[in-house]
Amino acid sequence: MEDIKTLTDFQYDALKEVGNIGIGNATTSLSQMVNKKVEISLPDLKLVPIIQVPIIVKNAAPVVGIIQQLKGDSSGFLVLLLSKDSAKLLIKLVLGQAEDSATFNEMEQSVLLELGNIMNGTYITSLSNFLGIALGLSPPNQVYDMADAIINQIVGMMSLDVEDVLFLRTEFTVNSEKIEGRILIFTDSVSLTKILDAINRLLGK
Amino acid sequence: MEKLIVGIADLVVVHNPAVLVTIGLGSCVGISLRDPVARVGALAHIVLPTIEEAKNKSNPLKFADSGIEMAIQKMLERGCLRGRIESKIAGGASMFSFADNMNIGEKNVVAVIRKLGEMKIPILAKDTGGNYGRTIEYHVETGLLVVKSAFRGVKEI
Repeated sequence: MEDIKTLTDFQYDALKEVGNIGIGNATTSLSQMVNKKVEISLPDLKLVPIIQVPIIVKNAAPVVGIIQQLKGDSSGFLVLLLSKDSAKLLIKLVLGQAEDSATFNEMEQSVLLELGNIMNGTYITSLSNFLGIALGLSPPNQVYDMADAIINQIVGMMSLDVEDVLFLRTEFTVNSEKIEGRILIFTDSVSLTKILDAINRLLGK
Repeated sequence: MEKLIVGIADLVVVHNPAVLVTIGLGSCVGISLRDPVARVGALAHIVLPTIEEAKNKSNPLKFADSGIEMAIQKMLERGCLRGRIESKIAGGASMFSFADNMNIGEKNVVAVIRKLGEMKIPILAKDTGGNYGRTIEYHVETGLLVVKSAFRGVKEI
């Protein structure tokens, strides 16, 4: 299959719109879980050599990452990232309380895992339905560590087969609670071909 | 002192004095090298164990075997002697794993140790494996490798 190295403006816009739909649906599910209004910002999209995946945060403050492998017509990874404070605030909204500690207890971890699983799942299901392609997710993995190291391992795991990666970053905020999070998608250029074909089909091209 | 950032699949070779930094090592491995007499140091950030199995071999710095060879070559070009070069390594964690996981971190560490052994470069210290990320700072002048992690404090090796 042809390896895509560049995208047209139209393809960029179409893919960003796909990201918008995904994050829109994911945050709707979050909104229902916590009963708060959730805002989203414009997605950021890049097609870059995998080793140039941008450094996400330049400090070592740990973040919560809920990581899932993307399967089916697209392969790659999907990651939900939350700062520690945002994660604690979300837990508080769900459980009514959160421990004021540097780490997360078992109950808190399971809440985060479940929130992540639901948000990531809604994201992917909406893309799958919208594009008419088969997308699935592995069971979630949870880590609490440096964001760059989390991304670093994803780069390592994808680098075996992949040179270029489509990197889609979507962000959301619960303004009333000062909660913010990001969902990142990493997918390879073969998957990208399938996604672009699906977009063309939708447009009747 | 100026800190030079070493990216993913990257190598920086410098003359003293300098601090070389690589941020957020997950499964990747950072290999610090120096010749204390020539006062030249290097830091490489490799992603995968071997170029042999790679489909795309265009960037030797991506792999442990070819990356180390290139680092040593660049050091020799800057007046280092093979017999004086020493190394320290860090990284190669497995922060999360999936069913079809191939534990790249561990394979990277094995490949780095093997290649350094083949090239007869002594490994003075290492901080590898585990399930957590590391940011490293290599002080070329002293050979000190500072390993920072989110919850395990700062190690000097």
